Amino acid sequence: MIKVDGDENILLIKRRHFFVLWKKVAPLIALGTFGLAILIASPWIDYPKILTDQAIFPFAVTFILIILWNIGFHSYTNYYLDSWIITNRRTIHTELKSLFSREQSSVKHNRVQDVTVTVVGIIPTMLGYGDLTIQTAGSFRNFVFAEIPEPYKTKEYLNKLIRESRKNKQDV
Amino acid sequence: MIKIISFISLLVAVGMAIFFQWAISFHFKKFSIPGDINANRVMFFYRWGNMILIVVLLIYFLQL
Repeated sequence: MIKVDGDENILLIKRRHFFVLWKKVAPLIALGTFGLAILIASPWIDYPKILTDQAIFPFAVTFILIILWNIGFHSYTNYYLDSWIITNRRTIHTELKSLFSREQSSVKHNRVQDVTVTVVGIIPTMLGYGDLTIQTAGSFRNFVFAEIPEPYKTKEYLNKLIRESRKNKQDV
Repeated sequence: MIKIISFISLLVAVGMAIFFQWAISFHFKKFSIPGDINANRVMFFYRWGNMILIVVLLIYFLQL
């Protein structure tokens, strides 16, 4: 489980836009539905005798469904656990590149120098998702919120937190 | 011959389901956000789906 400090509050959690997941999962759902449809329609269709004599056909469809189910949930896990958590002190990013390959990084608000939003393409513009890039002071690489919904609102919110964080630092 | 191929397929499917289930629950435990109830719901749904599909596959295998 991702750990946050005692005095740290989670303010916002961002994930990729749902359409990004849908793009990956839709072909699997279509394939699974097609498999189920031909299984249900089997009494009305003349399949080769070898398939209908025994339970080979339903066995094969169930086998494929297990594979699709697991691949689908693997995609969902990738989508769900790739998150950007904005707390009152920092932004934490967890990226699951694949199973057993993951990266976790965080950047404090007072180290942020610039926040940029990039929305490229017709579909991202219509659905309102895009990349939000945080440039930080020092040698730390850019921090990218990839394909998140409402990037402009998130930018405003982040800018507000950055301003507050700088103000608090000056007061101290 | 059909029995042998089906048995190998059954082993592959069950092995894959067990491996993926273990790996996915491991990642959910490790990287979920504190107090995230949805993560538990998703895992519950996934586990039951896997279990039902394996039982159905076993039933069809026994009918072969």
